[in-house]
Amino acid sequence: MTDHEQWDELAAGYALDSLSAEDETLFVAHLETCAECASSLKEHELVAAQLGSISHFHDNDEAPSWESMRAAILGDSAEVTPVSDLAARRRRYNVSRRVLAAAAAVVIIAAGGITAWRLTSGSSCAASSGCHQIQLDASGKTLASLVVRNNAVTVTPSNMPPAPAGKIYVLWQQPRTGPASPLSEFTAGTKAPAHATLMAPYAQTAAFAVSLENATATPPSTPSNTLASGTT
Amino acid sequence: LRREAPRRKRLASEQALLEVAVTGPGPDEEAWMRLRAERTRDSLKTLPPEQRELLLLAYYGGYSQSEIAGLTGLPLGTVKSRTLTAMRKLRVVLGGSVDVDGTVLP
Repeated sequence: MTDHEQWDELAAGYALDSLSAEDETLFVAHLETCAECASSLKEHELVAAQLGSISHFHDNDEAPSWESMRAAILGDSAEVTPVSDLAARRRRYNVSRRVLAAAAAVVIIAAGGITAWRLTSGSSCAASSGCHQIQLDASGKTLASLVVRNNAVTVTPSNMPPAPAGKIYVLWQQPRTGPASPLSEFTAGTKAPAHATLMAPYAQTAAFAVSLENATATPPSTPSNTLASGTT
Repeated sequence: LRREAPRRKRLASEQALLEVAVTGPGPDEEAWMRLRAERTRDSLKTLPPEQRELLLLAYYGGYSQSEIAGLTGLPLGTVKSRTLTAMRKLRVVLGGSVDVDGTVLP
């Protein structure tokens, strides 16, 4: 195995947000100096983002069983690698990765209008071709960062308050033409990044928006609160 | 007039969102998203089970690779290498749907 093969293993795990803290620190430091790793990561992130096209669970509190999770994702009863105590040993179930089914979802505008959150373009990923960093600010404080690399989106909450019990944040993309699409949902409680795939190319994006929705078993279909929006 | 441009742009954006609140995603968009999810699902099914399960645990289950090693009884190195293999295969199977030229195909 080559040295890069080992780094590529870490790149794949990083794209899946599945590295241990130690491995992640190691890889992030190396990434700064490794163009080959950056290229590999970009490919892995695109694959990971594609995984986000499958909606599965929207429950906030209960860990799904291994069987039900597989059934929701794959829709069949294919061979299963025994992981009998998965639910019992679950330590984290990252709601932020769950992606809404757009069919029943709409963007809701609060009666009071759109809260004046400001999206500003950052520069930390400007060196990478096709990389855009956007900060979600409210009252001068950055609440979350949005990084768009090609079609892969990562939302990292920073000072964003955790979603209240029974609620979730939903990130939406508003293309220049056509309806907005839900990209991802997240709670911001664990500060874990949420991953998603753009539903339209970034260049054709007019705005991103964040709404607060009820964390129900099905995607939102009735009006609630849109918290933030901003143009690209 | 120049000062008005940003305001008009913002209002246009808000208007677009308001229109979405009324109309929701169009049927084309819904069909496209269903197709895309189905393609991803079919691609996952082409992976060997021992590789596919690792991706499910990592991405949808939210487990770290160390946790997956504990859950499956596999050595951590095996989890890492199988995950990489699975990601590479999935990329090949997905083919043009993950092109990096800015276009996402179903």
